[in-house]
Amino acid sequence: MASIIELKNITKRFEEKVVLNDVCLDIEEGDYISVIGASGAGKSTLMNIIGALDNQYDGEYFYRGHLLKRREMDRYRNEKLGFIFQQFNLIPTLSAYDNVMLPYVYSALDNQKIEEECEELFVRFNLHNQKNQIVNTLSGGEKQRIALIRSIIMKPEIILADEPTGNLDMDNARLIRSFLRQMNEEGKTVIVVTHDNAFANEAKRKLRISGGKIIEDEIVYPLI
Amino acid sequence: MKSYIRLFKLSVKLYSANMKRNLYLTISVAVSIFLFLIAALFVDFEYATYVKGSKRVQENYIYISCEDKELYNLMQQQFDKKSLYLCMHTMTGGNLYIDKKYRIDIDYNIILTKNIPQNIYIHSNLEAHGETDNSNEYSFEKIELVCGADEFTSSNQVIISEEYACLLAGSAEDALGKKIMMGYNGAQDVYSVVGVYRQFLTETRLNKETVKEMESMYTKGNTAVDNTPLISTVIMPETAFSDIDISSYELYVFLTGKTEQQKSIYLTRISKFEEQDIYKDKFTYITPKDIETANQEEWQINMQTKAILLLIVAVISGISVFGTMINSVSDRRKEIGIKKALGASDGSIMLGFVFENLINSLIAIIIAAALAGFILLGYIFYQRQIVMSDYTVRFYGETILLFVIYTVSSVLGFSLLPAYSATQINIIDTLRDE
Repeated sequence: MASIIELKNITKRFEEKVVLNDVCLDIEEGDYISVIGASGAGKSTLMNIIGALDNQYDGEYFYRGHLLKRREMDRYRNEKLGFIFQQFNLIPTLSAYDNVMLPYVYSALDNQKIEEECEELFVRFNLHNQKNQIVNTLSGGEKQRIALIRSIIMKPEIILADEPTGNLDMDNARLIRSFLRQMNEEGKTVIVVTHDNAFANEAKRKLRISGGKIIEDEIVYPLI
Repeated sequence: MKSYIRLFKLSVKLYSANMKRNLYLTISVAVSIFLFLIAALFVDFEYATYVKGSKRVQENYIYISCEDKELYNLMQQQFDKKSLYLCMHTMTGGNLYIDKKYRIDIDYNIILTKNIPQNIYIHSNLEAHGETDNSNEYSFEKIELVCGADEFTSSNQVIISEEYACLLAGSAEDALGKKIMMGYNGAQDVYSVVGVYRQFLTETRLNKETVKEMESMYTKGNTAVDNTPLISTVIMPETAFSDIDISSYELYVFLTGKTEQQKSIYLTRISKFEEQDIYKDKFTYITPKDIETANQEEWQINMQTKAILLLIVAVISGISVFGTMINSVSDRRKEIGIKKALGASDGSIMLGFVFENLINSLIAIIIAAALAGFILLGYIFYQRQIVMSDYTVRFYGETILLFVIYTVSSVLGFSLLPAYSATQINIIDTLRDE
């Protein structure tokens, strides 16, 4: 399968400290990758670089064989990536609907059916009654579901989730895991950072990071 | 374009969501706009009123000021007596006011009053009213004798207006020979009515309702309406003011209806006086060109005043906009980080802030314009209905342009730097913020 993302010799330093050391990584289209490792190992740093949130590094980032330039990163994040954060990262003073539509506001694309699609997603995630409520007034689970809808509203090719179940109860965590699985089944490339081994084992490929290097890259075989 | 509309809609929502936080900014911008509007429009209206008045003088009168009575008398002889008119001034309650600035010492003085006067006050402080060429010489009214004499044989005679005659005796003819008691210079005296004149009322001196009332009075056959506070004029002989020291004599030659040839004759006669060395320092003739030049100078002062005002309010609102926006950017770091993570470009982050400031400014403009409009309308009403001046309301393109410059500079100029600083934040750090 063709690489959707290719990282070549990525090195990231914080002042003198090397956080990622000459990391190379090929991510194929339709992959489901989990990234695990101890705190401070460099998981989130790698995730930030894959998510084009951090562009201060040495090395090269290719998207479908195209070298990604810094000035292209805003648009890349907007159109190709869907983010799910541990802290939800919703704008508390806006409604659920406005938060979901936020990526579209900053998009150069014109989708006539976006409102319809948004409505369907709210129904699918059982949030149609909360659509116009200010995010501040919603529960943690509801906020995370809004973040899920927001991550796919632009129909991204890649979904990035950084500790997505960290702040959730079991039911909501289960929902996230099932959502990511489903997205992968629908053909999206999913990359998730987690501490949870069971969750990591749901992926097709597991990367273990330690000391700023990928020390393990294994194919996970589903349990029969 | 559609993406800009989406961004604008989001900015409206964010502005409404942060309304409380924006309140200080809205109020400060509104106050500065209010100050500018009030001051600039006041300056404009005053200027428009002045120009309108001076244009009327320019078109209808020759204005000469003499500092020498002898010269003044000589000058008078050069003109058709019927061409010299004067009618001024305002009064309140039962007191009469004469303003020396508006006096013409031909045969009589003209005084305006509402009711039968109790006291007469002389305004003798010329400086207090400024130079005549800088004043609004719009209060001249042509008069016409209805009955009786237009000359005085003694100082205790008066010529009164028709409406005053109606109040006094029921009709103009019946008023002739009537004795009236008037207060003057601290003493009361009896005056005999020797003539009645008709004043050509215009909306410049009287409000429409009063004019209508007077017109109806005339059609009723000069029947007075009791207790109606009408503006009347009493014309008194110059001798009645013999104890007043007149330092300057002003002559207004009424030109309306005169042919170009007649006007030219007048001007030639004036120039002859002007050319004589003995009169040179005692003689001032304001030409239409002088008035034009004075108007232009006034306009320059007007523009300079507005520019200074603008600078002051721009600095006040600029500091306010700048400071509030810097705080806002700092308070909204997380929000900016989220937007950037979701793909907002630096340009759209900046534009969002500019849009929010634009919305804020629009609200501030509406509040300020409503307040300023309310106050100015009150002032215009006061000028037109109470003072009864020919107050002119005119909006000048230059003022509007200055206002646009001000708005754009405060919306863009003072919000760009804080907005730019918003784009420089680190996404990862802000997303970690709790």
